[in-house]
Amino acid sequence: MKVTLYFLLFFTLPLLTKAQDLMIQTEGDANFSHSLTPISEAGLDYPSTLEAESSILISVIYDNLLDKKNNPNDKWRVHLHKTDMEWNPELSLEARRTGRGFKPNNPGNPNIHDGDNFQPVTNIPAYFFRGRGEIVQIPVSLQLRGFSVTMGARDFETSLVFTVYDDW
Amino acid sequence: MKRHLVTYSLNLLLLILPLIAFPQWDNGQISVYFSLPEVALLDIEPDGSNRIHFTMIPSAESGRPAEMEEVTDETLWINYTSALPENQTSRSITAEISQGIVPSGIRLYLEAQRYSGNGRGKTGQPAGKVELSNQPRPVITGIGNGLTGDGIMNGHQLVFSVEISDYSGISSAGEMNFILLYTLTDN
Repeated sequence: MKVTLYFLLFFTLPLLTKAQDLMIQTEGDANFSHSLTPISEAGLDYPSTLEAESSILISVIYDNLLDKKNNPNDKWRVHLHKTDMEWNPELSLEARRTGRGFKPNNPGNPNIHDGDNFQPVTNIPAYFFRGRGEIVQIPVSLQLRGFSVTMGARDFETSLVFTVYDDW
Repeated sequence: MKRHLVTYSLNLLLLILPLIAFPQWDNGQISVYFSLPEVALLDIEPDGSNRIHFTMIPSAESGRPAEMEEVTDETLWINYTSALPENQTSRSITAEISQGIVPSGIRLYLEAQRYSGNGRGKTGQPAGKVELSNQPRPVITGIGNGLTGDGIMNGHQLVFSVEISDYSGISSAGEMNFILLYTLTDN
């Protein structure tokens, strides 16, 4: 009996002690191609920087209502990196948060910090911004540098990966 | 003894298990697309003032041949920007007389010089001294993905020269105008 009890506790305790379930949702995609200014004069290259025309929206929400009710102001942080499909190492992608989003069904300013200056996005995850509780539709803007006619006529694609962690 | 050992081990496990429960995480993805188009741009500098002028002057002494006032012109430069599709390796620039006819007894030549300036990438190589006619002939070859820079002192200096090849063929005096057409063409 005692052994059975220990057995049950051994396997269920980790489930009871796990951190709150947070989810991250993403909306939109980023296409720089339509923002590219044609070269105005023979002998010249493209302008040095492009900002994506489309906006990305990030939402951090609870996985279940019980967590939301019991711990409405859980701390979390978002990290960002990219996974290249077809890329050129000379291309430099940068991201920044351009707004605070909003708290669903709750007035007041979202508790969100950092990430409001452009920072490089690399293949290694790096801290982006942090917040507390559910915050939805946080706008993120992207900027691209380093492109040149010396790369030839090419298509490039990469995937941005936003990861939310419980901030313990 | 053995039983106590098992009990103590299980108790210890129960104490430390909460500490090793993993933090939660989740991720979401956004696709980023970017396309660079094919580019083929060319112009002659200085912009708006790219005429050259040769004048044949008669000799002051009878029995002596007429001469050209200047036999060469080196005032013009050619600039270009080129971005090739993946399945193409290079481009060339050809030159031809698209309007006008070189008078009989006179030959007009063009020689592009080696690249210089503040461009980058794969610029082309001169094709040597070329006699201009109404047929396109390459003057610069091997252009890849690159740019010459803008304005004079960037790109390839163009050296025009004129030669009297047959005095008996020069039939009349007067002003003759030509229009040269330069084409950045796929190889």
